[in-house]
Amino acid sequence: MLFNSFQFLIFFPIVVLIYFLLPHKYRWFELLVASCLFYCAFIPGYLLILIVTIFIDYFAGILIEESTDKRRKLFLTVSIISNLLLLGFFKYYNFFIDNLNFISQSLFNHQLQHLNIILPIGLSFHTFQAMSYVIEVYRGKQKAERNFGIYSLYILFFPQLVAGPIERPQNMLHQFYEKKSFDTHRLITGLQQIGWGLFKKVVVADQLNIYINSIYDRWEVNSGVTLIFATYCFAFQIYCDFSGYSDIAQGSAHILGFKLMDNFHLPYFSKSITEFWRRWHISLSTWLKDYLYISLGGNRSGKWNTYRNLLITMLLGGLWHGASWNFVIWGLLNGIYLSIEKMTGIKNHSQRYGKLLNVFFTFNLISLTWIFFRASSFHQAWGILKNILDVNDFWVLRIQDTGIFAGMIFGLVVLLLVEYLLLRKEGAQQYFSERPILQSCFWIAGLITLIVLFGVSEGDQFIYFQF
Amino acid sequence: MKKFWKFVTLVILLTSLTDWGLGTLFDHWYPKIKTGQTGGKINYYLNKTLVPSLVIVGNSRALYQVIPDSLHAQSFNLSHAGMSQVFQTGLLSILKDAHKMPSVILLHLEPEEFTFDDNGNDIQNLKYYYGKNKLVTQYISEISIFESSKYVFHLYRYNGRVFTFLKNLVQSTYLFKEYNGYEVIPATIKDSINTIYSANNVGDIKNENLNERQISYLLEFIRLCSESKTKVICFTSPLYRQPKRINLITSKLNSILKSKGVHYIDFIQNPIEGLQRNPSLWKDAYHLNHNGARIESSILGLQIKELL
Repeated sequence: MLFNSFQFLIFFPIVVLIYFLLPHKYRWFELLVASCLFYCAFIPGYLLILIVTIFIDYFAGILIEESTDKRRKLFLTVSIISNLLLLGFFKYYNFFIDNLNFISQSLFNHQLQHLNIILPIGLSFHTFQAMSYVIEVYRGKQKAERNFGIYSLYILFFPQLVAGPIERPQNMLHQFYEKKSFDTHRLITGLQQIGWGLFKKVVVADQLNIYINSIYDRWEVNSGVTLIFATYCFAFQIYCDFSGYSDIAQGSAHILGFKLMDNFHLPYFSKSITEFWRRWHISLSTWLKDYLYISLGGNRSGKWNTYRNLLITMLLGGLWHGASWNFVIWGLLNGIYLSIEKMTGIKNHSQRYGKLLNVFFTFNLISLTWIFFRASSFHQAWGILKNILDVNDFWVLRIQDTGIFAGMIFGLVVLLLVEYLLLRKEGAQQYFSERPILQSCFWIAGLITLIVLFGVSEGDQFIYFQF
Repeated sequence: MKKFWKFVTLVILLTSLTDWGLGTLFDHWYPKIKTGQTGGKINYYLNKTLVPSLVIVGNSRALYQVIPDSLHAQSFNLSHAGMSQVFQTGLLSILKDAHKMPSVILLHLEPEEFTFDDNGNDIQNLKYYYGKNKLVTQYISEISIFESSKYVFHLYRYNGRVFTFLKNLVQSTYLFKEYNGYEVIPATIKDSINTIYSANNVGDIKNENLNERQISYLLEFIRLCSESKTKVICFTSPLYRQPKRINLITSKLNSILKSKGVHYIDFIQNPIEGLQRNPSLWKDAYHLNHNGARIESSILGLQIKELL
């Protein structure tokens, strides 16, 4: 079920209503059933895969807690390997076969068959969330959850089930036990955040998507400024698509009385790549830092090992996004940026030229990586890079449909004004929670009107669902 | 709970007021637009005091390729780029309601479209007529079970087209008066290269089975014409490179049209001499440029003359 669908518009109020009407002891069960229904709305069969991982990690958590020494490590390894095997099978099997075929074709003239499977929605997210649980239990920072239903809900909780934020057990599990009562102020704050998330998705991201598709799908005949502008647009599309999803997730959870972690904090206002990764997809970057970078040794074993660890972390972070060499290159580029910043001690790219230039420089470096993220193949990404540098027709900017172009520029202007002027200092939830009721009403009515007038009603699903 | 109801009431009140205020303003402006694909061309046609004898409807391959003056003294090209049969049927229903039906309608059929299993989304381009025209309202409601609920907001009729609509309002002079609705694609020196390049990307037909829903739109079109005693002639423009098996689709279309007594001029089965060997007459593999359009229109004109 998509957040930007009518189904969700009906589903969510019913869930909220039943949740607050039920006695506290039954509420977790209602949320669990609702979450299963939410997930089944995509492909019901894939719920079984989730249940398998839930079983493995639930028992692994208990066994790790009850065991000592080597057996603890054994159960942790079994749990992590089974999670990664499942992820590897569904997400990377065909990619692996592609690469194997590339080699075997040239050596033995033999091709292996692909598997005709669809990636379960949000598999990478809930696999990482499950792994976070067993690792935290192993590290002794989290007690193993004995209630199977509550543990299942930790993985299946519908607001963050398919595209995060990738939560930590310390933040979520205790919340399922806390008694929550209906709070109008929380409802108003949550609705404002949901409205803002929807605006970012259906007005900004989906309009940008139409323009970007028209340029990237015909990249061979486009060049220079057109491709640069389309890439800038993609930077905002992916931001609005994903942070819009996170806003809706946070807002929905907030109405139910749950606090999800912040996933974005105005990343394009960053003055360096290091700062960008502290503001972009925070739940993934902290996951990678805590469980991968630090496990590899972090910055504790010399500077060259630090650079190596950064490269490995970002490379695997890239691969997490998708089974394609483009994502590997995307991750590698980010790893190289971070290593260079570490090497040179850069916190801001240039103190001399002021904040604005730093922001601009960082934005361009990140936009360069988005070419690999958006392109459908390495060949396309490379072709786009070459065409950008083509001096013929460099200054030609293709507008395509004037109505869509004007609509997306309008959406971007509203986005930047609101984020810079209103949300920069406090963050969305904090800002919305402090508004007087009349102002909140104007805000929601304004957003509804903008969504009705400019929203793309047949928009695509959220980009990050495919991960 | 008092705060909750106060909040709900205020949001509904503010949203309704904005919807009503802006909706009324846009409703006042909309009929004044006389140009553009977002309704202006239809307004221009509906405001014509003299109804043309012959009207051409279809997609871009009718809009850019059929010159009305080559067909009949009083004809008008009411084609809209990118629009499939559901749009054409909805449009015809609007003309019928406005008593602006011509004596003859020349309907362009895009064969491959009749095999698509889509939900008739192109009718959304006539969303201004939701609630005003019965058939348009019905087709929009059929898109999905939730589609009608979007029209709770009066403003939804202008969804996605506000800026185009305002731009066309400011420069609301009909741009293509000279050609009676036909839009010119001037020939350029790059045309041959573009055509050969895009011809390489022409894929094969994946499915030659006609889709029932698409055919029902066509049959409804014919029914509306017969109700208004308007003669309908169907045609399909030529292609620079024909996808394999496309002729199977036009044959099926031909038998359906034959059973309804409608004549079908099929330039796929009966290509126009010389067009397919000359890439300089095309803009790309699907569209003729102005030079090519002149050839197609003159041949189409000759064939129609025999039928009228």
